[in-house]
Amino acid sequence: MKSALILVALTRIAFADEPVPAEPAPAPAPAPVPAPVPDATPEPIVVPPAPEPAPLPPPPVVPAPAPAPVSAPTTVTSHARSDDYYDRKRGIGMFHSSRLALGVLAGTEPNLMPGATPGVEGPKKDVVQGSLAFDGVFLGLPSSYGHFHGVEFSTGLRSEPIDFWAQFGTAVSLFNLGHGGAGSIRLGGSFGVGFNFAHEYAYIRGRAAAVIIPQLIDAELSAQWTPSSASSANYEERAIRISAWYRPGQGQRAFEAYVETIKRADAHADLHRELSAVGGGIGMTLF
Amino acid sequence: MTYHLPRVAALSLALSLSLTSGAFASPLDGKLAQDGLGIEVGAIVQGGRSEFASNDAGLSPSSQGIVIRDRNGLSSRMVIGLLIAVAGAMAQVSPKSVESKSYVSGDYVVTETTTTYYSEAEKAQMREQTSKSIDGVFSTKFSDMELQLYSRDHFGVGESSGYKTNFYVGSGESIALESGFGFGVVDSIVDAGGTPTTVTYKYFGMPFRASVVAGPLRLALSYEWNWLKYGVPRADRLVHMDERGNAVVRTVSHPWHFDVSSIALGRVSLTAGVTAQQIRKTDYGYYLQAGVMF
Repeated sequence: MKSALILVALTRIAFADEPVPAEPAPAPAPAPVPAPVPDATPEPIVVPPAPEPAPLPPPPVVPAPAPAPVSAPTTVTSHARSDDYYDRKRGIGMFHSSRLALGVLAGTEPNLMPGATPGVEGPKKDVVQGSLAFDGVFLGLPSSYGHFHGVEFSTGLRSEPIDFWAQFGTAVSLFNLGHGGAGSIRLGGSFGVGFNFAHEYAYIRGRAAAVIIPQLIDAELSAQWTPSSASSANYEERAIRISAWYRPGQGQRAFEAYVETIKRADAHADLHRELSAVGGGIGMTLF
Repeated sequence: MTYHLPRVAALSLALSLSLTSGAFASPLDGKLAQDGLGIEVGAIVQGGRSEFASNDAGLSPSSQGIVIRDRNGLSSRMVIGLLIAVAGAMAQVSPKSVESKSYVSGDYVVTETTTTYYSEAEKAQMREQTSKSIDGVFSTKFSDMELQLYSRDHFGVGESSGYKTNFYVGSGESIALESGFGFGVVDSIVDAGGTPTTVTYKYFGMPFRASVVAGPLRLALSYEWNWLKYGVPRADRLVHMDERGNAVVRTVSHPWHFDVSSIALGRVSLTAGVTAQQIRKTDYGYYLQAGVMF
């Protein structure tokens, strides 16, 4: 019934938008009848000239469509901006899709001679590595369960000993609480595969992010784990990073400071690519 | 421990029929399990003569782990699409044909080898076909990526450690037909008469699956064609000592799986199934799986 009413209303609106039909032309005016003449000398009947046809009505005027209502200037409230900035489809931290970071790691690695056969657990030596990393996460595919799926990738370089990694996986938002205010939380996860100079591997990752100061500072705890069973070289690898982003303006650009710890080890022997290190660095979002 | 497939199948069917009778509103949704797009994070338990067990040695490990499954998502499509792209690129640069002929010329045997490569037009056609194939992978109705991770050290108290993964894409309406590829390595340390024995399972092959929605349940029958089964000598399938003096045995099979699954309360994924390494034998394994869908 309600639908029918709406349909009727729409129909009426449609008619109102059509041109107004022209009114029918008025009938021609009858010829004037001469006034009766008093009885007098009969005079010849004068036939008056035929009246001019009545002028045609003016062509129908199609009313101009009503001008679109001019919306009143709206005020962008801080809440609206917050929602715009707080987009669930950005998978890094609370509000970011990518990060480019420069950092340094300091730790230990097995003290093995180059080319030496891997052996039992032995002495360690100090190692300092510089690192350049680029990460991206895009969550654009809504799931049937109210979450967002997407892809993530990470690549980067470390120095001394030189290492390169590239990994690619599927990311998903697991939990969202809040709309960008202080304490808003987002949990996410991902899994995928990758390689570095030590091994090929599969990994799982968890992310927990929170807003510290709305629209200004947010932070993320990210942990990635590769079990030895998912490593081509029997390494178990763990990487934990804590990042804080500072957003200086009103755009998407934010700057990052982070600390991280990385441990890559074989449980049964010393291998050349084992590493246990702690470090930190700075970064920025790109898009 | 043995499990009888007909009994489990009958119970599953009876449960399915009772839930489809409409006598009460079911909290289970089989169609969501089949058609829904979501990622499952959960736990899996396997026992009996699962594919990780050795029928020849009579060893049945208890396996516990975590499972991550991307149903109808991008994971499987991306992996299979990447494989098609790599295969297409390799096919383009590989020789179209190689012909050799030998003949005697004086004191020498001369061998002439003629290698023919694909023309630029043929390469363009192959690129187009590859592109269409990848488009097809991303437009299929169904996809599935399932990763099972087992660990003796970090979670669970099972006897297995390793991983197994399958990637599917497929299509269909009332019956979904899916296929793809999979791989995995799982080793289990089982007590065999007081001797710890390592049962090693290796898988690289092609899974096939047919599934159907029956009311609140989804029924699936799958077969894993394990290419690594071929070439394993008989001696390796029996308990023997390796070079370190450990008791080891290799298990190989093309296992069949039949499982019943559903989504409970719109969020919880539940699966129960049986495994048969050989369809004609009565030694069956079972697996139970529960997870949360995101």
